[in-house]
Amino acid sequence: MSGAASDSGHNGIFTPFNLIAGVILLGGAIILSIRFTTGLAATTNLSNTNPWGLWIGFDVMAGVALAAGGFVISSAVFLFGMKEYQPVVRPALLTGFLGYSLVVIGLLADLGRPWRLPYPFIKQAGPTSPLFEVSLCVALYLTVLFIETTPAIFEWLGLKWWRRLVGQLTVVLTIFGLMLSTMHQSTLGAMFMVTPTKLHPLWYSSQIPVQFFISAIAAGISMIIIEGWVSHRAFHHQVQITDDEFRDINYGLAKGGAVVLATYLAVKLVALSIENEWRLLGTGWGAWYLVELIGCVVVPCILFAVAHRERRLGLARVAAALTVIGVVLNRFNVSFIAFNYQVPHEMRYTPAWTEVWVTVSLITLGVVVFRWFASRMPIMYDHPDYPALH
Amino acid sequence: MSMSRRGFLGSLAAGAGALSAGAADATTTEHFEGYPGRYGLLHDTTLCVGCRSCEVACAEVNALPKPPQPIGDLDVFDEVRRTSATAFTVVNQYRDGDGVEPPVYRKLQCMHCNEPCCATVCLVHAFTKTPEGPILYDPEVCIGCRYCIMACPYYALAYEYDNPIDPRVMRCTMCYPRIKEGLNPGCADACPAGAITFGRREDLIEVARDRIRKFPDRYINHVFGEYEFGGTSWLMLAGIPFRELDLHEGVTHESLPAIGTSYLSVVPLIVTIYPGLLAGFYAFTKRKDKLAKAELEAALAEARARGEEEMKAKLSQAAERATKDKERAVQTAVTKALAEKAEGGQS
Amino acid sequence: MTPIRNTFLLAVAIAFPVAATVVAQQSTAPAETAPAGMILMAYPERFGDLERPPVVFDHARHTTSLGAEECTQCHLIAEAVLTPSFAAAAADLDPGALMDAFHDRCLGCHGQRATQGLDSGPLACGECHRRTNTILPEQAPMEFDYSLHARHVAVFKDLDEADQCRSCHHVWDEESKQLVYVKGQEDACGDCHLERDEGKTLSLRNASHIQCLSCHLERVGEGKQAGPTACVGCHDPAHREAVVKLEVVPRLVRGQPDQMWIHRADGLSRLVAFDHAAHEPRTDFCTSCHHLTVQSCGSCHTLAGAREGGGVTLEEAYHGASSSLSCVGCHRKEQAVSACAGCHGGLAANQNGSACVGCHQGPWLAPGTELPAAVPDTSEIAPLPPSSDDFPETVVIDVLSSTYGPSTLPHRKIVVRLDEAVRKSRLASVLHGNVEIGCEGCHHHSQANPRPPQCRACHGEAAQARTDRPGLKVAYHRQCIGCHQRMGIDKLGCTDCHAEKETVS
Repeated sequence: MSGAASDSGHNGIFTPFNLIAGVILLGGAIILSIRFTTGLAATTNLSNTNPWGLWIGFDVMAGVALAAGGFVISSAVFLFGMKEYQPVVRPALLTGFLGYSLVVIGLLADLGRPWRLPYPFIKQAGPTSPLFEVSLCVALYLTVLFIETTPAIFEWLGLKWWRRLVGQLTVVLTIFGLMLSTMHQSTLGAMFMVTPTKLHPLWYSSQIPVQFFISAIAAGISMIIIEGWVSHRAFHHQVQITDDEFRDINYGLAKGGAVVLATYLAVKLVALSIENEWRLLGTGWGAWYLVELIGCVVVPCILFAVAHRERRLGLARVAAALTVIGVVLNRFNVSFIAFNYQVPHEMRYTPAWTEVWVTVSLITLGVVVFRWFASRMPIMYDHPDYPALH
Repeated sequence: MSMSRRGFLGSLAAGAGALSAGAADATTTEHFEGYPGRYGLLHDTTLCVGCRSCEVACAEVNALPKPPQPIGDLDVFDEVRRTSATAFTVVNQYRDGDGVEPPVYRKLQCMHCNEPCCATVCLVHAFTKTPEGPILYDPEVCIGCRYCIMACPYYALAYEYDNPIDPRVMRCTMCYPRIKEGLNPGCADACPAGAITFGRREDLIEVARDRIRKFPDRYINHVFGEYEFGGTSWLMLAGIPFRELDLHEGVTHESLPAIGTSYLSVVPLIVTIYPGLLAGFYAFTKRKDKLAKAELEAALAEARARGEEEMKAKLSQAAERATKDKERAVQTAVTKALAEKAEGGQS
Repeated sequence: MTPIRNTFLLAVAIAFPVAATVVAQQSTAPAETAPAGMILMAYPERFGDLERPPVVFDHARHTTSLGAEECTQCHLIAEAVLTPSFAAAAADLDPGALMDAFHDRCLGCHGQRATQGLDSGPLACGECHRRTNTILPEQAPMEFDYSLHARHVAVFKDLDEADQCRSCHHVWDEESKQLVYVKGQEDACGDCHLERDEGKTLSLRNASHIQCLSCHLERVGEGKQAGPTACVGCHDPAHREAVVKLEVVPRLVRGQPDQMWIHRADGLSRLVAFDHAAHEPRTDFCTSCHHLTVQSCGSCHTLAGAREGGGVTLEEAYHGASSSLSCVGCHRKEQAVSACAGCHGGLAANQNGSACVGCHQGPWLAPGTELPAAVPDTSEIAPLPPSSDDFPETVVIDVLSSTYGPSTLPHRKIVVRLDEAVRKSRLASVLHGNVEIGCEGCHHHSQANPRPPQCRACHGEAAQARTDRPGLKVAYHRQCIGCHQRMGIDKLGCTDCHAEKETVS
């Protein structure tokens, strides 16, 4: 069953976590059933002026960014030879796979006609659309992630031949995954290049695709640290690496995070220079922009560097949390906070509680399924019968 | 619907090809002026009296519910409205009359841009720019992603959010069926003040310039929609700055599709360069690993060999010493024996 | 521990000044306009680029609190003549000394009053050189119309003829080395006193301030009724509204004719009869037309356009449609009043080809021929004919009737009302010349006499986009509603002209 089961004397399944998760998921299911039977108006604050809200802003855009850890770490290990991170590859890939699956589920909730999701590929394609490229890449990448998750499944099921087959595909899939991720992570930002009059100039830039891609890498690294923090404790009995090895991995990730965030800061400053927008920093929107930039890019960058140098795990985790908040905040800003910034106040968008509930329930679903996988399959450890993926 | 592998790869290549073709304007020298003879509408806001007959006529022609606020209800102008799923067009008041100057109104609707960004961003190609001018929407393929609504700079599109079965994007169609029959759009026919003129876009631009020339005090010297973001089919004349009519002034003449999808030209590059580049990284890494392993093995072999040699040397040394010891012992014994024998012989 | 703290402090140390500088650059408060009486002390030609924001000096406040006797605190008064500029700001001071001159005077006085416990002005730099609001003082230029002129003449009437007008109307006499008055050559002050001081001719600002203020101050000192002594008295529109205007303003006589011909000796067109006497009351100053000394237009505006005329040709000087100085320009302004705008507002800028004959009614004059006598125009327009088939009393418009019923147009009533307005205006009567021209207000692009065509003769049901000719429905509405709008007639609603039809249920 699950981790902390029988201490309380309850029936194993009714742990506090399970109860809360169950309530959240039940609520989400109810809201979604209302959404599918009566339309989007009943369960969202979406309007004709704000067609995209929290479900796109978080579930799709932030979700894709936060699930980026998969391609980051698998590229690091399999393509660039950083074998010391091998223990976190499978959790990161699983996070990625579940993350992208939740993106698709969130998208299905938001689409006007979700049953038509495959239409761009099977009925009529609109290849001029950035969204077409995103959907194609996400669909392919989801497949890649699924295949990259199957080794653990096959090991669990004891299907040696299948396991060997997918093991041989690792490098090809990693290359394919990095390529697809570069494209769709950046194109998610490029989708907003068609709205120069609607997105605030501090966030609108010709450099948006590059900014989104680099921040996705930072988000992926941070999510690995955070997910490692939780699952290392929850599955401590499975973990094979020593505490020191685990810490070293985190410090290495912190170093990577610092470098990526510094690069991201540089790209952002270059974007400001290209558009010559320095005076906008003195406005109210500029202050908000600086909160995002300084609080969630500069500060975690410094904290990551210090954490790596001083070998302080807690600081690295704080930095990771700030980075995740920053990336989510950036996606929110681009999709509905700094978007439509000129629209009168009464026509601006705030998420409805139903939208927030569904988003939280999707996150909960992800955590629950991750836990199911990790408690059964060799995610947090290497199966003794199989060589570690080289 | 199943697809063969070849078919899938083929469509992937076609998609990549189409992506590059669609955004490759920067490298060609040709300039497409737009379909010749296409229609447009001229909206002269100095003539609009705010009667909203156009709203009523539009609802009638498109089988939409009548506007809830009847004509003559001036309270409707207290707020600035926008189009909705049941109203393809609305008329707003942007300036009060002050007794000297009359109030200023403007009609809002889909502008039927020359290069529509809604058509470009639709991932199922649900929008088509017809040669006659109007942009058509096909609800049969629409998946409801609402990217078009998000992209439209004129906030012209609306969605049926309360429809769970077949929600559609709702917008002015420029009365395409009527145009095909040689009729005018419903709003153009209905307007009693002649604030809407329907005709060929190139003629209407001449008409607009002519009006400005004839009444220079009445108009701002600019035909809005002639070039903004590539130009629109709806052209506007006004006597007050267009900014006050909630229209963006001074924007680029480059179309939004060109601005918004220029980035996509990098996609084919990623697809073609990444595999080789990353495979190269992988090969480099493998080679480094192999070299490292070879070095390790060489070092191990050397260490082992050295160890063996040392062992051999030690053994031979020990053997030598043992031999020496033995010889010495033998010598000592012999010497002692000889000495003893010599002593015994004497007595 | 220490490295982290140091790093953090370093980051904060960098971030804060950067942020503060960025935020401080903003000046979000919009500029306000201030009433007259505020003086912007920037002296850009003497200080160049300013380090601090310029001081906006509330002159009115200072004169009120200090009183009229204290002008000498800042101004030089010599022989009852007040020099309006700041006395210590002599022209030869360098920027540093100029600044010191101001500071010594202003801060010295403020400090003195402060020690005496009186109300005083600021002493800190930033309170005078205020950064937050940029006040742009706006002095409306002074206007001296016939009424004011007459009132001033009344003041001087007891003096000798040579001195009566001399304070304002003077020329420099080289022989006697003084300003003398020459009768018949009076011009406006601004004709000689320009933007800046030129040699001994002061700028208009200095000349008028010295001349007017000195006299006003003197009279105030003598307890007589005088004009304003504070800036706002002359330069604030509200104050000027309160100035007494004479009911009957005597005509300014300067040897001008009553009736005259506008002509050229080489006889290029028909003579234009010009009633100078009738035009005078329609302006406020001679300079309304004689905008640079009182001469005839042709002295500076030649046929080809000379430099003295600013490149404006003679034809343009008379006919320039957008100028307020030309005949046609001024007439067009008159056409814009609501009584005339009904018809004239709907006509394009240069639509009236037949308008020339309205003014050019005199004979052709061969060069060298003597001018005939100029007599006033006493012609009258023929009265309106009685109603007939050609000129109906009412017209029922029911051609397009569908949602609304037919409209009954009160044809004669409309024409009579417009005709009355024409007869009331001398300009309109002369330039119209006959009643038929009024028909063209509605029956445009057609012949008025004897019976103009109906609207639907030319306006089909459908619009013609290419020629911008509206369809019949639009033609009716734009013509009628447009005229009502321009004339301020409150018949703009649908049912004001035609009743809504009962819909068949």
